[in-house]
Amino acid sequence: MSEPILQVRDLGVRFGTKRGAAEVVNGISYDLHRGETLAIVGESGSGKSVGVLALMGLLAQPPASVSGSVRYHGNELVGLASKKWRGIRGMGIAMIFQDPMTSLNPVRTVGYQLAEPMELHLDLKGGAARQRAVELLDLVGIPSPEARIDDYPHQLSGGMRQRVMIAMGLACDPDVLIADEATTALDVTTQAQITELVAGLQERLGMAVIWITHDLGVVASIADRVHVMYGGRFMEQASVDELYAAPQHPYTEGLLGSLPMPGSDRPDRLVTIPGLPPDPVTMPPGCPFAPRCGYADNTQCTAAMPEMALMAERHEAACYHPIGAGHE
Amino acid sequence: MSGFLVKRILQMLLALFGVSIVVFALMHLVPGDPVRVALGTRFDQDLYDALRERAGLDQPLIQQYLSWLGGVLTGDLGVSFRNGQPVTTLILERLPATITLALAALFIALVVALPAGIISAVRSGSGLDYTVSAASQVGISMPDFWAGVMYILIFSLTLGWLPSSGYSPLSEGVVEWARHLILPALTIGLISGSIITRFVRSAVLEALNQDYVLTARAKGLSEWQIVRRHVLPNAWIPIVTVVGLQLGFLLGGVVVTEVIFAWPGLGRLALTAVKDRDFTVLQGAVLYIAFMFLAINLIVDIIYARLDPRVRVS
Repeated sequence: MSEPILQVRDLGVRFGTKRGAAEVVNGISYDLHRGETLAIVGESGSGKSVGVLALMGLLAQPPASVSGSVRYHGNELVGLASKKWRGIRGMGIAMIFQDPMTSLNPVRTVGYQLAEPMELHLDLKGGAARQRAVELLDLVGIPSPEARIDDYPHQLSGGMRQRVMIAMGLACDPDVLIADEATTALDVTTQAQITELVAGLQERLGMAVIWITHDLGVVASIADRVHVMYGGRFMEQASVDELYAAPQHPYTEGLLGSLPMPGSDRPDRLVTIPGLPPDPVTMPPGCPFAPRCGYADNTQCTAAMPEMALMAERHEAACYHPIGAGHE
Repeated sequence: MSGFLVKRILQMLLALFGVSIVVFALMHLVPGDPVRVALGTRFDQDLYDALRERAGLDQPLIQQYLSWLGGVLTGDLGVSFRNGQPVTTLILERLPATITLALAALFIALVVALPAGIISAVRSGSGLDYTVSAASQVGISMPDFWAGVMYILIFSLTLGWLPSSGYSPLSEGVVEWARHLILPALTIGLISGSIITRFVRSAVLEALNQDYVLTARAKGLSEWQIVRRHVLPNAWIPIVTVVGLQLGFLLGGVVVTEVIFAWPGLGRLALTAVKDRDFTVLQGAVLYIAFMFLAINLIVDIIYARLDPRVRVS
């Protein structure tokens, strides 16, 4: 396989709080290859957003402190000077945020906001930037882009705004597009349109995409590989098909079980995982999922975090009692 | 836009009408008889009655009001009880000094407040931020009667750099004009500036915490580019409001500062009118101040529409 575009090793994020240090992201590692779509799945507070913000150098330090390594085309990003960052953000790695209602500046036109990264990174100005902005709006499926380009964000619907955000992300042909809960604020139909749009663009433009979501339905429709995150750690990583067919980690099993499935025995009932995600300040020493896990024992699970172990080909899980091993 | 403007102007006229009623009523509710005050020790009942009749004070209140209002509509605010001069003339005479002082003070206020407020928001939590906050707290707490006297003590009496009082019109030379203007403008300019600094800081800080700032960072903009292109255009909206209020307050005349520096502005005119029970002058002055406030509010609204596209459409 070719050299990965992005190589994340042992990335950690710790926040200093009044109650003590909060380990929000703890030693996550992954590779991202050209054209690949990687999904990072987890509940709110699992550290998935913080992890990508750290990767983009967008966390204010302090209060955050970032450890580990992120290599982009071999160049280290952790601790990079802010001047050098500017050539990467928006140019090599672009990001789309969760809420299209608040992520666009309300007093700037769509065209202005779209042209900004081009002006900054590609030195495109005036008519040329406008021309490209119109093309981008067209590319993301906004009807009559020439008319829309002078609109303000409040004149567009939520779905349209998220398309504008995507267009903005694509403005400088990035290698990597990070979508942080990019469809969460949208209704299901729009959600489907946006995920299809990104998947289509990815195929045409050859970008790699990191898709951060808590929605396993979205993951199934878009991702190549999935990383399941809980309590700031990766619990399981596998291809989408493999993960859905044979989840190894009890947490993944619980997540999949909580999806509404047409044709299940009790379609009127959703399975839930009892309990709450752990508090990052008082993280237990063992597996963070142990207190909520039906398979956990009182010895090794609560004593030390299990290592990632290979369960099948390119399928890893960090669990002492993986599902595949059979439970009594 | 024009519909919006027409609506706002009509609202403004309605408000002015309300103000005229309140002003007129208050003047006649407070104790004190202007004719008696004007006559002083030379009181004579026949003269008193004659003067009252001439001033129309023997008429029913409603009639007095209507005839005053009629005058106002034609630009005639009546004549002073004190010296018989037309109130309109008295106000117009004071206007150049008032406007000069107001604009000079606002200029000082903005030169101080905009950089100080923006920097302390962008570097919030830093030593610089705390220094600015402390300085603006001092500025707000410092009464103008004290600050003005201190400036006179330092810059006029001790150093002898600037005159301690008086106004020199621009027509008599720009140097003298400026020398007389500096201390009174500084006195209120720094107080206004301290108030505006705090608003600028909180407006910029609020805008800095919005999601679109994160978007701008993710695009690769530098911190100052973000402030200039994304934060300030949003922060201007609340800043313009407070600057408008400050200007309205300054254009109404700043009584204490004008008294300290013997500045021939509207504040002193109004103060003298109060002392003399000079109803017509006071009515005129208050009406003028209300008009200034409303006019500036209207301008602020128009600027809003320029700054915020969401206002333009709705």
